[in-house]
Amino acid sequence: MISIKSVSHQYGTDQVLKFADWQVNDGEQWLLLGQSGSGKTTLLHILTGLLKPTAGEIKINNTNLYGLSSKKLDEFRGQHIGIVFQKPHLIKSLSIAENLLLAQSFAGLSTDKNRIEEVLASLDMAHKKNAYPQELSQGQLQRVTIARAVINIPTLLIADEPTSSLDDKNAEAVLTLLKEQSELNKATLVVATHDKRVKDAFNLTYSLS
Amino acid sequence: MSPFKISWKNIWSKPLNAALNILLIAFGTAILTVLLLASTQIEDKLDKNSKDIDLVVGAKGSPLQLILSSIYYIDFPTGNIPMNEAKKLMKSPFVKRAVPLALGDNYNGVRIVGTDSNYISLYGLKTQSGKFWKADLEATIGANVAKEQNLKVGDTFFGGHGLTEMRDEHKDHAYKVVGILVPQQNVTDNLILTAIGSVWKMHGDEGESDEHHDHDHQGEVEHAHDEDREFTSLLIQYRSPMAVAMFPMMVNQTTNMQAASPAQESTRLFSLIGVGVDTLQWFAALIMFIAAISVFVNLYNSLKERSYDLAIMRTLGASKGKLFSLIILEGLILTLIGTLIGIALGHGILHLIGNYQESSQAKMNGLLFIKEEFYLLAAGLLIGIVAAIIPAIQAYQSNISKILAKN
Repeated sequence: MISIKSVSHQYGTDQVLKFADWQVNDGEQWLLLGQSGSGKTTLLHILTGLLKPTAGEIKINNTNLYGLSSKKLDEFRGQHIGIVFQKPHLIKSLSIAENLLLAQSFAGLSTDKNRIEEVLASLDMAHKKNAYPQELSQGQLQRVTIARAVINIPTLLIADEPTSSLDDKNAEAVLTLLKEQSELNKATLVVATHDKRVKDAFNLTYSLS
Repeated sequence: MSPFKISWKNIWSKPLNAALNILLIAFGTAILTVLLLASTQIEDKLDKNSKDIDLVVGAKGSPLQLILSSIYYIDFPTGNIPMNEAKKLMKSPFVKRAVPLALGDNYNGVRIVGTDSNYISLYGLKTQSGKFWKADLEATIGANVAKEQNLKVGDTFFGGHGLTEMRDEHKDHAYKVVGILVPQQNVTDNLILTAIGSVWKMHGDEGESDEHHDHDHQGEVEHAHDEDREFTSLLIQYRSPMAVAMFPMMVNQTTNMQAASPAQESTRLFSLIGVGVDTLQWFAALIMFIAAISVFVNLYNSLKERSYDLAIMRTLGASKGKLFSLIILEGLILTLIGTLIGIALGHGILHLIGNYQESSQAKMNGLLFIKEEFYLLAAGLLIGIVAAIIPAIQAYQSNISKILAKN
């Protein structure tokens, strides 16, 4: 369901980053391992349609990602890809429920309040529905960003260093949530990290050297 | 979630910035609104009141003063003219219609105008109740006078000496209201009309000594005997366009009176007021310009803080065009609110000015709306777009991969 073929990217005149071909099937849970500077973020951005690679082809659900127009690509990303960033970032001027509504409407989907209740409940955050981001703790914010990533039932859930700034206990909790949510929403999960604590939780690994 | 709501919430996440922007725009718009409304209303009033009057003949003095006193009932008259000489002019072949005026008295600040029935046809007057004045001491009053002074047909009142305040009431002769005019939307709404004879009577026609009102007698009709009788001025309608060139010259050169053209004097008056209006207009434009810069700086700065927000929005599926329109919308919302508040404020200020104005003839009305205000609204919206366009283009062009990688 995700395939990347002979993808490489070059920033300006810097060295060319080459990525080995990769095939991910539906519902699999993968670890994307690599030290900082190894091109991990670059690959994630290429995978999510945020950065057009210099060469190569990326297919998600048999759609050639960079064959789409800019507008269509944004929409595709909104509907099929959920992203959890290292730092939980929500729109400050909007409440938690509104942040999730935003994710639905930006993806070009109809807004569905029941779905928002359902996702927040599954992450034990239903009571914070009307709170604003600055009223929440880091851990709570991280949960809401996971909720936002799965709100549109994506086929691919991608997390970029979700545990790097967390202690052992919270790191484990977030990983559990990510795995739970990807299973619950039948989404393929890719977690990019250099965090060794995460390794044992996955049996499929794509390494960058 | 509608783009409007997203922009709206973002604007009010910084209420002080938003309020400052709105305030600046509202202030600039309010000044422009007041200027626009005031100059339109004044021009309108001037035009309406001098509509069918080609020339005013009165005593020598300032021609502007003559026009102001005889057509707009604002200033004091320049003096009086002898009735015999005036009558000669009235019979001139150039003149289609001549209306004599005798001013000098008031009732609670409302001017009492002595005139004849030609005045009725000149202004196209109609009564809503009662009839027009005929005999001396009969008065037909303007619609506003009836309302504000609480006078009805059949009521009587005493005139006062002078043009503005009630001093030295003429207790000997009471006026009787015989009719009330239909609102005419011109000066006659605020006048008391009566026969010329009434005014003469007040001023000693029956041998009453006028020793006791010897002070500033300028412009008042006083003397008793026919050869001594006086008018304050004559309103003249020409018979033919030829008269425009000939008649004023004749009056000014061959008689001891002066002729003043309402059109010329109104233009002169406007060129005098115009300087002030121009200055204020530039001032308001400057404020609007500063407001535009303020909106721009506000959006531009917040864009820096929000670049990550905007990048996140893109990852959620928002297109570049959507971000562009969100920023433009913020500019539009700010300026739209500012402009609407400004227009409302302008009307409020004008109405307040109107309430404190002493002269009832040039009273401003803040409740009148004119279609030029749509231009103000359009200008406000244009400012919003112009101020937002650069930040919007930046949001459109931002490289989200770079922004996300940095954080």
